[in-house]
Amino acid sequence: MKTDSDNTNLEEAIAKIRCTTGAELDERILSDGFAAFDIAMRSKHSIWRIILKSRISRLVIAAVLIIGCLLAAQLLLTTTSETPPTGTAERADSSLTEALIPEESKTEQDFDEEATAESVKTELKIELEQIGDMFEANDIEGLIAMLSDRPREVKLAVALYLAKVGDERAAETLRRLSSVTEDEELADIFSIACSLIQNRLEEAKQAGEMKAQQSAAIAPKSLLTGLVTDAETAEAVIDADVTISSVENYTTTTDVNGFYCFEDVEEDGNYKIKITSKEYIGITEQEKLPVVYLSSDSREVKNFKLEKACMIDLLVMDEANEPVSNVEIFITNPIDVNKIIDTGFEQITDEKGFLVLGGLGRGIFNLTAIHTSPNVFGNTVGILPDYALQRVTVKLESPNDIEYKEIVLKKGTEVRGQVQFEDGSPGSEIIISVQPDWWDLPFGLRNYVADYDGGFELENITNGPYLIKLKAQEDSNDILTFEAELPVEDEPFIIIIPQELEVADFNMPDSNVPDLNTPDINIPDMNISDSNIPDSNAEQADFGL
Amino acid sequence: MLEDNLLIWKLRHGDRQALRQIYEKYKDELLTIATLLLNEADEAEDALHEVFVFFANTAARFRLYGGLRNYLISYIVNHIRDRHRRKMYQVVEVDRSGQAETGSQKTQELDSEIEKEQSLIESLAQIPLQQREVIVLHLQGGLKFREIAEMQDIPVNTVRARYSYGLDKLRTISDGRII
Repeated sequence: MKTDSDNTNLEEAIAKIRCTTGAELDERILSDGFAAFDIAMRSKHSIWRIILKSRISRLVIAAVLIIGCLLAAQLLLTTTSETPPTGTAERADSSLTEALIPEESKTEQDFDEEATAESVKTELKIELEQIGDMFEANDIEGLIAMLSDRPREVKLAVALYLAKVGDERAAETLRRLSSVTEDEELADIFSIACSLIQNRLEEAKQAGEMKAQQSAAIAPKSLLTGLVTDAETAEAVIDADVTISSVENYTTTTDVNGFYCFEDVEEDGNYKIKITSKEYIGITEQEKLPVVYLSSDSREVKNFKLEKACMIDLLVMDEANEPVSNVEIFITNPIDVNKIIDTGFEQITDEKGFLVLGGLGRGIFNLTAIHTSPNVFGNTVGILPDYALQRVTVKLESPNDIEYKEIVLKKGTEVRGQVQFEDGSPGSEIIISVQPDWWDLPFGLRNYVADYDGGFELENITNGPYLIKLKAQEDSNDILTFEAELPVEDEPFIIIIPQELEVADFNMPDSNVPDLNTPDINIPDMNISDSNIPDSNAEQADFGL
Repeated sequence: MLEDNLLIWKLRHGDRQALRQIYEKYKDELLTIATLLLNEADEAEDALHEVFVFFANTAARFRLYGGLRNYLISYIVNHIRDRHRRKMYQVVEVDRSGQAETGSQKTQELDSEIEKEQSLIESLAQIPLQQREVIVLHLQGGLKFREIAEMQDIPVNTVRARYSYGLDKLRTISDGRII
């Protein structure tokens, strides 16, 4: 059993480890480092040389100069028409002010402004250099970040660089900024840059589609061929499983171009096409599978566009934090209950307790974990979990993130009980099924059968409300249903049932109501539906049959 | 952080002394991380050498966006990961740098504390690199899970899971020899 103290000791032991370099190693590294540093410093290019290397950089400079000239002209007109009041701190563009004020008439304040202007110029130069570096390093996010809270010239330069790179995120940011920026000229530049990026993206998309079509064209003429591509980017969907099924099933996998083909089928007929992929939302729902007729002379081409899927990285552990393998995960949608979502993959945890669930769209999903030991079904029907049933809910919002979830399986406790008829006789061989009230899977759990004395033992029960169903025979459609909070405080858990159950006829007459106020009974909520039984003695009687 | 900014500024202006100061400041920490990730002193030293020379080579144009320490740690981890991809790593007996004696003689003279450390380093080498990275970056590099997640471009929950799972595995492998 692992303890917190164990982990703390381990963590401390790792944190304490220290390695030190020897003098020889220091000398070797520093010597080589200095040599590399000297070379780097000698070959350090000036910012202007770097900028002038590329056409886009020259465009940036030209744009900055034009804007500078416009500002200068504007300022010149302003200063000739009205003289600013003496002694005010009001300052337009400092570099231009510097040019307009004669050297001999400069005050101390003017010299301060000169220093500030020089500083601004240096900062601007550094920022432009930084933009160039980021462009070279393809740091798109960094460039996007520089579109905010930076000087106008910097924003302009960044926009032009981004137009050159072409990136969806950049296009989105520029589009947004163009609509909110008050500076009309800057907004226009943003808008133009955004258009340029979109053109690039469109070209890339078309190139991808063309490449895919070329792949299809050069493929051997088979019964059924096609391409599976990303619905948004037209990129190939690689390693997707394509299955055609009729009397026989045939499966193939898409190649690096998203291409698949089926050379032959044994029997002519209608085949359903199923596509599964963890990274993309496949075509897996039986009723929605496309159908194609295939015969020996068929030359069908079916292309599919898939949307990116959300994925879940799931870890199943026990209460001792040990991974639990061979846990089957069932995915359901809270909105569309009693319907298991088929991702097309086997959903069983590996030896490390991990399972990656994919092929899911956005939405809320319930993940129910069931772990069963092999060959434990015995003589009853249904699932016998060897851990308490566990369910987690996960909300998937973005195909770009892999949601991480953990499920901790608990062993739970045993609940002993007895089924009795109203007259006190034991409910021998009454069939009992127990499931958590949240159970939403379209299959039942294992049934327990009361012994000769009406006794039973429910296994792997954790705290919570359960739905309990009783019936006299396995094939009986009449089921007595009620809810109970388990485990009960005082065992045994006594269930008193109507005398009529003895004859396996659950259609109880209205006059016969189970005595739920018997002291032994510990059923907070008992339901027998469709029986129209009046709420007589029961405190919360709402019966369901 | 301020000191690092100053060192970088000096470096960009050709100050060799700044390069030496940066090396002196971070060399042991980087070597420890490399040793824990590689379990081989020679390879750890090589990694430190390559990372530092690369840093010196780019120093003239180096821009510090985050912390220098995190940058260097990130770089050495990426370097080791690339190295790991290139060749199948084989566990060999660790030869800690800074210890003059080697081989069986050295082992005999190691006190119990050193033996435990060596055992721990060897155990670390047996867990998957991804888990090892998270453990070493968190415990040795002092990085928060969020920082590791950003560095490795993975969800923070994945980092937590790798950390927890890696520690459990390490505890199982060490089987009471360390704690």
